[in-house]
Amino acid sequence: MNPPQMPDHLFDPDAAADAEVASLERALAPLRWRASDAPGWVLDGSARPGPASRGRRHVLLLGLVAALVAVMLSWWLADSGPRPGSPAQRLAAVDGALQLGEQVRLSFAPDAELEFVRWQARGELRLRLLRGRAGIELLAAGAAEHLVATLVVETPAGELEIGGQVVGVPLRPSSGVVGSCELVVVGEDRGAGGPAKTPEIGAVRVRGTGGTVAFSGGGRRVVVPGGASCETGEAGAVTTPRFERAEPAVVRLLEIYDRALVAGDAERRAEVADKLRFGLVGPHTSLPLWHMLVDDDPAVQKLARDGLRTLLGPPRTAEPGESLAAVWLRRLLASQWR
Amino acid sequence: MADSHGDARDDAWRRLVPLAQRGDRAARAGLYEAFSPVVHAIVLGQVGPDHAEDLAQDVFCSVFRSLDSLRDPGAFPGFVCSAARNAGRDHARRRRRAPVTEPLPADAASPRRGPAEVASEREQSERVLEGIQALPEAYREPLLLRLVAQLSGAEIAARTGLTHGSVRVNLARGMAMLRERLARPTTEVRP
Repeated sequence: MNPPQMPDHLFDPDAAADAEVASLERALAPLRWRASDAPGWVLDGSARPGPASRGRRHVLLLGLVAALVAVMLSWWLADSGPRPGSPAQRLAAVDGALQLGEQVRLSFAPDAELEFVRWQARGELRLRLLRGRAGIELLAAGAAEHLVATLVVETPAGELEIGGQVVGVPLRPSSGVVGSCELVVVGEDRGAGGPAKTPEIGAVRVRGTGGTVAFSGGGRRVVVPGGASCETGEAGAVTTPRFERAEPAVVRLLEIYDRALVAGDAERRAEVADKLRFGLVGPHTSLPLWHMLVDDDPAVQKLARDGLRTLLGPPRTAEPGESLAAVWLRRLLASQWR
Repeated sequence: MADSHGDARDDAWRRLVPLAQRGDRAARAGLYEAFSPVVHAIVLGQVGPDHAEDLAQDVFCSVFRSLDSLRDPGAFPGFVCSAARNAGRDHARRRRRAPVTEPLPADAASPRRGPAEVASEREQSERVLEGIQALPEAYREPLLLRLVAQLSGAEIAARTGLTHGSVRVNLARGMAMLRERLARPTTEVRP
């Protein structure tokens, strides 16, 4: 069967114009892709998967890291039930607040857990309140392109307050995408807070101003104390938190470490841990080493443990059956890195 | 002429793929620039204008995330088109479960035009798009790439991996089917 005759203009836009084709082009013109619509996060490495996303091997590695962190944290959380005189009682009384850009302010009741599902172009913000109580305040300020037009909050097991009233928000299905982050507030009873800036849509930066904020994404969970900050980096994984007063050399080393973490390069990470523990990190700036305790490579863990032992002395006595890494992690969450 | 133009652009993205696999931001930006109209046109045919832009962005996230699995840089067009088709199908499937009305983006038409003219333009766009969406995929995609993404036949061939001859045939048949479809009077069944 021969194809129908068609004007040359249909195959070659440079050929003599055809009225019918031109008419269709005009009709569809409003639907054309507009380059200016492309969000920065699509092109920017800080908010989308980077070069080291190595297929299944990498996903497996991230899964292992996530599983390790999840196991340790769940163990720690399970172990931190209220016991007289134990730090767990203080940890149970935590309030937190985060500000996203200039427009959204989130506040958390003790033990609330809120997950960023998506902050996409066209101003749609999706959050999931996993447990506890949270408040959301939409502020009028902010750049027009970052204004939230649609706010969707899922509450599988939590209560949400908007404008001071508790409202029931129906559960809605959703899926995680690049840039999704989970935010968990933990820490002492000093409270947790501080602005979380969104330099680009899809990227989240958290800066702690007090207390402790646990921040996770891309299979990694970090602890951000007051004065420190982190952000979503390659593959959506959060970067190792650093204090704003950290020396440039430390910052450069942490950038190398974060890249090596995403790339699954344990040897490179061990090099960084080795350098950090000698000379560059003092007791008040040991925060990165605490995070290296939960690195999935035993050699990196050992370097971090040795470094912290040298700087701060041995950890407190472990409970029966408690791993040394868990003891160190408890110290980290109890703000003993200063 | 269009062929040589298309070939030159073809060479450009070929060089970018290995660089993008190594994480070169500029290379990824170049691939995004070269293929975003293609991805947008493909998903537009499946999900409509309201979701096409966001879905196109999601497709690139997915493509860049799995770019390392691509062994042959020359297979990138098929790789990205396939990702767009799959994303469009998934999205359409989800929407069928939870149907929503989808008006055109509010800013799609020029604000300098009057409301009546804007409404008329929008109606015309929707009608043509619906006509194309109803076509089989083999005809729908080339027409959208030609009429919305404004690629030449040679560029469509380079981006989709089809031969020039196949693109020419599919454009011609798709155009004939669209013409027939648009010529039908719009009838509404009223109670």
